[in-house]
Order: sequence, then structure tokens, then C-alpha cells
Amino acid sequence: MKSTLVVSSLVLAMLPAVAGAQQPAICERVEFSQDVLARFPDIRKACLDVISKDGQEYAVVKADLVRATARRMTIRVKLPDGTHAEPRAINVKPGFRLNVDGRATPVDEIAVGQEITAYVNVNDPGIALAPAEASDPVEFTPVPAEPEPAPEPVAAAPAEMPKTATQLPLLGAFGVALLALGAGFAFLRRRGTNNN
Amino acid sequence: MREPVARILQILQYACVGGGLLLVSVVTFARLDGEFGRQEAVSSFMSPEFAPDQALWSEERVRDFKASLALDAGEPQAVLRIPALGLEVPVYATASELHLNRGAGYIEGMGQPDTGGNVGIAGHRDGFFRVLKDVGPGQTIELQTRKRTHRYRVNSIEVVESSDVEPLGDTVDPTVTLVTCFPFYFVGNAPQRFIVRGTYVWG
Repeated sequence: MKSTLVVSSLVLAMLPAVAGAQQPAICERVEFSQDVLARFPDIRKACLDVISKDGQEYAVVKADLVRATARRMTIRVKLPDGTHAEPRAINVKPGFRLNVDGRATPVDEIAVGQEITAYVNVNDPGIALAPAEASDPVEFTPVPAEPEPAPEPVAAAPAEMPKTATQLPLLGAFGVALLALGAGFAFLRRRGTNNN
Repeated sequence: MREPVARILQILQYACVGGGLLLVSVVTFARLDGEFGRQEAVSSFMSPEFAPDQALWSEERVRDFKASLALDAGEPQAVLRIPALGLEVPVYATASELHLNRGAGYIEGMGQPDTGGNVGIAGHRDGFFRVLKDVGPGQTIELQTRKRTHRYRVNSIEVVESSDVEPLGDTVDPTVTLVTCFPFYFVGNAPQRFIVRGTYVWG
């Protein structure tokens, strides 16, 4: 089992180059269940490899992280034409680590925009983040039949626009006006002195 | 001219010149302080002091260090760049007057670039954000945080009333929304807001 994952890791290292190319034959052959195809219509196109673990088969896909909250990440699976599939939320446990550029990285250090590897269960509709180490457990999040609700907002929306004006130009204009007034008084004073 | 009138004119002259010089000095100082503060904040954000050698640190210590940086409201949280406009400005934790005099500020209650959603950034239209008057669709907006550099592409520019908060609403995909006052040349509190929206550019 472990050797399967080691070989898969080597394959995964080459995935970015493969992503835009022809689909791997194993992805063409694998039998996705109807439930999985209903929830992931583009899974065959997005599939980059198929691995086995604990008696289950998983399609390997690349995805971009679109939202990260404390225990939930939302990803969009990348398609070969450069577009993305619908967003999918995945539950993550604190301390979970991902392989980012060859380094085991805690999930709370991952930022939006990060490309990550995910597993889609071939038989049961579920999705998981690929762990950093082959020995780490894979935690699947079931994907419901109905469309997922919009992800929870990252924060409560502000009730008003920010104040983006300063009084500096007004103060500056006031200052220049006072200087002009001062010059005017000086002129009047000098003219009065000259008339005398 | 009679002596008392000349005396009054002299007092008025000195008062006006004194007051005028004071106000002009305050404005000049604020402008210089803002510009020097911007330069200092950008260079301090880029300096290696913010990324000390953590090879020997425990994971927990690295996490705490990063959290402490994020909580320090006195330090910039990110650097915002629009290369086409020559804009490079530090982004602080809030859109308070203090922060907006030194750079731009995250609008509280909106998303953050590293965690997603609609990231709101405010700036003074008579300061760092004045260059937004020349912004155009397709231009790149960069937001460099301590985790990564996020890139967005300008896809909409609009003017809304200051009571219209719809542009500040949450989004599923990561976006950035730059907010400043409109019109750009206006003495006093401008009645509208200039909104620049950018969509995420995936790596």
C-alpha cells in the first residue's frame, strides 16, 4: 500500500506538466460511481492519477484554495482548460499538514491561491486534501447531492463605507487664504504709510 | 493713516501670516510624514527582520511569531502595488485616520487576502490613492502579505454613493476592492466613493 503511495507521489511531482496534456489512461479506465459523477461532472477531465489506499480508489486532482477558515477550506478543482469546477468545502483538523513545494506545511500556514492536491473517492462522493506524508490519515468530507450553500462569510460585512477624506486640503487652502489676507493687510498698511 | 488703524492692520497682518504659516506647515509636515512613513513601512515590511531564520524554531513558536506580527496594529500587514500606476503603499490593519495618513488600511469586517473573500482596502483620494484616477481595466493589483503575493486583475471601476455598501459584500472567490473618495479633487468630505474591483489571478 505504501509503495503505491510512493509511486503516486512521484507521479504527483510531474502533475503540473501533465495537467494540460492528455488524460492519463488510468483516469479513462476507472469506474466512477453515478453518485460521484453527479456531484463531480468533470472528474474524469480533472483526474490526473488514481491511487489506492485502505482498499479504496481515489482520483487525484489539482485544486486552488479559494477560502480558508479555521477548520474548513474551500477549493476549486482545476480543469485542463484552465478553468475551475464548482467550489467544494473540505473539513480539516488542526495540525493537518499538506505537501507544499516538497515541504510538509501546517494547514494554517496555507494561504488563498495555493495550488493543492486533493483526492476524490471513486465510489462514495467525498473529497479530501492529500496529506503531506503517506502515513498521515486521509479525512474525507462527504459531498451532498444538492448544491453546496455559499461558504460562510469570512467576516460580517461592514455597515458603512470607510471615511477616506482628510481635512488636510481644507486646512491647506485655509492656510494659503490666511497668507493672502496677511499680504493684503501688509499692502494696505504700506499704502497708508506712503500716503502719510 | 492714523496710528490706531495702522496698528490694527499690523496685528491682523501678523495674525494672518502666523496662522497661515502654521496651517501650511501642518499640512506640509503631514504630507512629508505620510510619505516618509510610507517608505519606511514598505522597506521594513520587506526587510529580513520580519523573516528571521526560523530553522531552529519549533512549529508552535513560528506560529506564535506570525500571529504576533498579524496582531501588531502598528506594523503594516501587507504591501499594495499597482505597477502601472507606480503605486506602492503599506496596508495597515484598519482604515483609521492614523493608518490612512501612513498608507492604506484594511476595511474592518471584510475578507483578508490570505483567508479569502472580498478584501477591502481604503485609502485617501488626496493621498496615496489619488493615482487611482488613472486606473484602467486589466491592470494588475499586487498584494504582498507575509505568506504570499496575491495578484488581482482590475475588472470593474465604478462610482457609488457613500451610503451604498453593496461593493463591500462578501464573495465566494477571492477579490480585492479598493475604496477612496470621489470626486478626486474636492475640498471637504466628498459625497461619493470610487470603487476599483479586482478578481484573483490564479498562479
